Amino acid sequence: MLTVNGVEVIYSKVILVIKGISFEVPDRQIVCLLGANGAGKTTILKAISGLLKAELGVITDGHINWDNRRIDRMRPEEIVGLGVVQVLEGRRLFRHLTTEDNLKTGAHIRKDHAVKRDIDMVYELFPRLNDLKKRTSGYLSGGEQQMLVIGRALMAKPQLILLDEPSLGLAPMLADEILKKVKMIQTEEGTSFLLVEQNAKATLEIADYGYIMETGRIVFEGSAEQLINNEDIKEFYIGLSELGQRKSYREVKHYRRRKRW
Amino acid sequence: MDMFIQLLISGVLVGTVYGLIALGFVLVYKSSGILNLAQGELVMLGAYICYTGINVLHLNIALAFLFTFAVSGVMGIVISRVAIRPLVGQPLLSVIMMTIVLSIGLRGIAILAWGAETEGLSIFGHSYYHIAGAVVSEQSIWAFALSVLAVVAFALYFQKTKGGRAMRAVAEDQQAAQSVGIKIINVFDHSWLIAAVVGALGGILLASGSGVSIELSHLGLKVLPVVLIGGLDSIQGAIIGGVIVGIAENMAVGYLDPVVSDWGLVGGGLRNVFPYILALFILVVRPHGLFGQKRIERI
Ligand SMILES: Nc1ncnc2c1ncn2[C@@H]1O[C@H](COP(=O)(O)OP(=O)(O)OP(=O)(O)O)[C@@H](O)[C@H]1O
Ligand SMILES: [Mg+2]
Repeated sequence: MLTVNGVEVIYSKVILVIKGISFEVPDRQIVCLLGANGAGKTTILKAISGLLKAELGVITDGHINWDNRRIDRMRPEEIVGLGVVQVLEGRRLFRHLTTEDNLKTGAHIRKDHAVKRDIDMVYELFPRLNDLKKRTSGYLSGGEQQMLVIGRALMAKPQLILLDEPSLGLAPMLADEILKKVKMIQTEEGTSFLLVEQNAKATLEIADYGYIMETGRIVFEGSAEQLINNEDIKEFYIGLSELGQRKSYREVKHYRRRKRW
Repeated sequence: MDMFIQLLISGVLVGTVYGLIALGFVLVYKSSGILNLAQGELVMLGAYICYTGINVLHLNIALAFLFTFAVSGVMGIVISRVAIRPLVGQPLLSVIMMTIVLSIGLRGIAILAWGAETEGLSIFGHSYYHIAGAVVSEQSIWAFALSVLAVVAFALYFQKTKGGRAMRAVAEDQQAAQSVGIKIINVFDHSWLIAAVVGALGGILLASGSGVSIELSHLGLKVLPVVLIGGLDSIQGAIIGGVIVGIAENMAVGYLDPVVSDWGLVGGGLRNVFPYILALFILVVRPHGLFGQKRIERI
């Protein structure tokens, strides 16, 4: 179980981006983190995975525990070693490497000999990748690339995947397919997920629990069901009014000004 | 025609050694974005270390090679940890300055330790062979063969092993590499280790023809036109660029120097200048060199 407790993050010594956040990701659950652009979702994922340090970001307050061990001072490779792996936003694969070599790099921290078998498991999960084994990964389609970065993370045998906007820029059908696979990984492998998404509706369908973030704070939380049925959430993040119509950006913005969480 | 073939073949033979040395330069650039302006000194020191192994420690040639690789490798790692690591994340200029400081420092150490004289390093036989109408020395054949062997060994390491994959991953996306648990600074260490070892081998091979002296550090700086031509971040570009520079300088000596002398100018200097002129032309047409920066952009 991951617990984030009162975490505050400052970039470049002055830019306060996360203003004291607490939440948890229980084992074998999908917890989603929703919120507008710039809310700090990616930042909090990087704080957990240790990647923040490379970006001049510092956790200035609070702590992060994974299975009762404090991980906020650890280096990224140590955190990966403990079973927590981040899938970065924007399909960051190693573009000049083949599909299969990308998967192999995912197993970098492992010393066991079952890597080959796990590669086959990834191919079973994403059959499309099986046909593209030897292909230079930079030439894969957007959806295939997203499958590959998730597959690459699986190669580390993680217990928790920090998944940042997997459906970004994908056609709705493909986005749904990716999210279905996430659900499948959770049920079959028992992996837990901290899932950041813009696509609130589809995400809440697979998530167990969710948090809503706004400019560095958590403003609302609840089970997926509670969130789906909450009128305000519908308004802001699913974009549907009671009439079932899409709200225009301006209307939502206006509404947002009137009503603060 | 005979002369052309002669120049071509000796150009290719020495060019592979340049390619080998440039490979070390490119590797450091690819993994850490650092222009290692001390690569020439690593070349020079390799030759001195081998010279010491043979003439002071009285090692046989094979052991002297291994001795050189070991000492150079350790030196590469020490440089990476002591000089480069503290600068990770600092502005590019400070890192480049550091490599310049390194190059001056290493040259100073070499002068202190070995003096400024040119010493012979005759580790290969002195026979000559006729190949396709050209006369080639045993030394240059060895230099070619060992360079090719080293390049092939490196290519296998780079393509087929876990360490090589980690290097390629870091070269492409440092943050993504960190996200899968690759320890970036280890990869930097590896790249400096390899740069030092291939540089040292290049140094031994060059010195086996020209002798050991401080001058080798300038010879080592031939990596600059080589990587400008091949592309700073391309391994294959380094090798091909090396061969091109080897051929180009030989052709300059054979065909251009006499012309320049006819004009009443002092010939003989074109050997070192011509590769840069060539690099300039290539950069005008292809700003990233022949093989550089082939980014795959597909979102
Ligand atoms: N390295 C950095 N240095 C300074 N500020 C940063 C840095 N990275 C992010 N920020 C700022 O921190 C805030 C939160 O960014 P973050 O990427 O975490 O948001 P996000 O919720 O993931 O947004 P999106 O949905 O657009 O991905 C933004 O205002 C951003 O400009
Ligand atoms: Mg983000």
